[in-house]
Amino acid sequence: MMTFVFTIFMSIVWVGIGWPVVRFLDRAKTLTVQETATFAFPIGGLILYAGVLLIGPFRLDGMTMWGLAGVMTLLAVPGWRAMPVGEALSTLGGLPDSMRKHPWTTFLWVTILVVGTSSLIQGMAPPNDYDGLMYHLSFPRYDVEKGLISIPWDRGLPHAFFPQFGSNISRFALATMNAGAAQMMHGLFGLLAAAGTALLVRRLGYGRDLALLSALLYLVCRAVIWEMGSSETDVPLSAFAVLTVLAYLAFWEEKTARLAALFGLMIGGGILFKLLGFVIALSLAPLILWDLIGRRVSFRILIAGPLAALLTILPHLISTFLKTGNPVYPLFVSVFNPDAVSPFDGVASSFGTGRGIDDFIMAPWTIFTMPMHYYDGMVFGAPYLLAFVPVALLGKGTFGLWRPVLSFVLLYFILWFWAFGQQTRFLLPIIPFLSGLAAVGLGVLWNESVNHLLKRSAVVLVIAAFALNQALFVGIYTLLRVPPAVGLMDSKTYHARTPTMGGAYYETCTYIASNLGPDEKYLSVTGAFHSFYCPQAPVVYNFFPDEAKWWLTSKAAPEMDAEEFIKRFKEWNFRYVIVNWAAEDRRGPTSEGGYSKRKNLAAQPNLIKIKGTDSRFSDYLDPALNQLEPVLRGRLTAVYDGPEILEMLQRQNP
Amino acid sequence: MDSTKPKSPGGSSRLYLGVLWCACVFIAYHWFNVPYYAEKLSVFFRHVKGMLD
Repeated sequence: MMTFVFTIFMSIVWVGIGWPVVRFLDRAKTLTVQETATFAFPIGGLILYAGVLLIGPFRLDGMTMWGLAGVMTLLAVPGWRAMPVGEALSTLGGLPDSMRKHPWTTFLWVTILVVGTSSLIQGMAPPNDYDGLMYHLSFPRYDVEKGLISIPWDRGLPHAFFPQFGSNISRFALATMNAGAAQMMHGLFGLLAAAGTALLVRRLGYGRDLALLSALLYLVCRAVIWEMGSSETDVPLSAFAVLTVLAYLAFWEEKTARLAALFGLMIGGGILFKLLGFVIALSLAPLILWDLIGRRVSFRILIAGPLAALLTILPHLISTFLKTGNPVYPLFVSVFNPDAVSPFDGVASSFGTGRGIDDFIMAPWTIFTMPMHYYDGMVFGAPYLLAFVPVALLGKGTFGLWRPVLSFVLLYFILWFWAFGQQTRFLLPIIPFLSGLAAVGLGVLWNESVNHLLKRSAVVLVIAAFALNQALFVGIYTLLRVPPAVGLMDSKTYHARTPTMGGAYYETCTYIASNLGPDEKYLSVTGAFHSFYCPQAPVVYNFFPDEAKWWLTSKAAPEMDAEEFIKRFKEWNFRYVIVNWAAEDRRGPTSEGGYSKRKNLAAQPNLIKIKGTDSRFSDYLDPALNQLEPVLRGRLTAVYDGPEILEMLQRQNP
Repeated sequence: MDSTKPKSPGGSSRLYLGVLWCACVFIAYHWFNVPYYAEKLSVFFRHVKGMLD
């Protein structure tokens, strides 16, 4: 309960901090009250990001982060005082009457509240998503355990140099509350994106119900529900995408440098969540060029946008450059870091049907109807966007009205298709716009079937089919994650019944966390995945500290012979050793030829027994392990007693 | 439901085309994804049974 209260309180603080900033940038009051509050939220978030960025490298613990929370609360007070709270309360007073008069609006509001609250609350469930366990949460936990922000070099993950907006939220949440707060604070960006979607539709001139329907269609997207209960960054990026376009549309109304700075801030915020934010910036280029070439706005005014974006991300670029020699690492590694390991090689060929023009034209069809055949899984759920978006474009005037938005969506899609790895969750930044268009499509069907029983029945049947289908995804996530989130199911049971991709290593990691003494260390040889549930700081993970940076300066990992390993093992006095004994695969045993060659369309988890540790220590560590029994064997990992292994190693390698 | 525009000429053909398109998408999607739904529903029912036990 405290986690929920804390998260809601921090969201109010963010709005309070951002309110005067948005008002300053919007002197002409081009933005509505709702738009002002919506833009204020991420600006407050950026202040939190900056606070952790400034304080964290020196000290990261409960005291400094609660101090930051206190300062932010004080900073929010002027904003709270300036907000039209009385007006909002009087609107609430008229709510019962309004509900009676507008039952359809009420239905939409109630559904949005139920789905949105459920998705938000699911964040309090124990972390169970692959990326969150691997780095979104485990790196911040590493920093909190160390007491300051640093790079966990031994993880060998370039992800440590990804932009840190989300990580700083997690650092703040872990130091003050827990992982649930970190996930919920990420989930708030899902609500922000839904609000942005509705406000965009309103700004384009549509009515309240259609705007609400757009928000709902965004919130029920399967990836949105899944990510809102996690620390993934695609949903926050989609919020920044829709807010960027919304700010640009507002800028068209009042062409001032301040409003240009607002869309720049939104671009900057997006990039700070995920490097894919650069694609949002590029996708806005046609609109900017259209304005500049047509002399609709002067360069002097418009440049405030890109400058604001650059200033927002500058600290990250400088910090990354100082550590890696590449301001945008891990992008353009072949240019800036030719000697380093090229991360993400091979990803591009894993997904999709190909990169031809015919593949491009057919991509919307294959993405939505054959997600398990060619892409990264059932990301969107039922294909309601594919069904209803084209119907919207059948409506008269829709294309002209949506042209600026469509140019953004199309360029983003082109860049996604040809410049990236085609993971479909990376399409989330355009889902708010497609949700808006899908709502318009539903409006077209509804309007054209008015006063005609047969036509209306057909439309209702189509809508009901998609609604029930998507409700399955909404309902399943609710049933899976709400019980552990509200304390009706313990973490152990939850992880046992809801295995995640690759496994969470919950049982073995919590065993180590519970039994490792204050000054004791352990060795982890668990491939490329070190779970969030394992202690993060007192570990040697695959590489010892003096060799841990190898991947930034060399393409080949350093080798180590038995004598050196035994010497180091003795020096470190490892209490435990955790290893993989099996792996889980949900898409077939081979990655050659990409997902299209895999026949496991059901994504049924297959347990694959691993031969030995498959590590750089295999030659001498595996024979020792073969003679010993683990102290604990989990679903995929096993924990061995360190002194027993050392004794066996010494016996086998005299 | 407030929406886009009042009924317009050519509305019927738009409606028929729209409904037909939606039905095609829905049927094709389920045709391609029967194995996925079978697996996920069985997992779901196992989960619910586990919760009730």
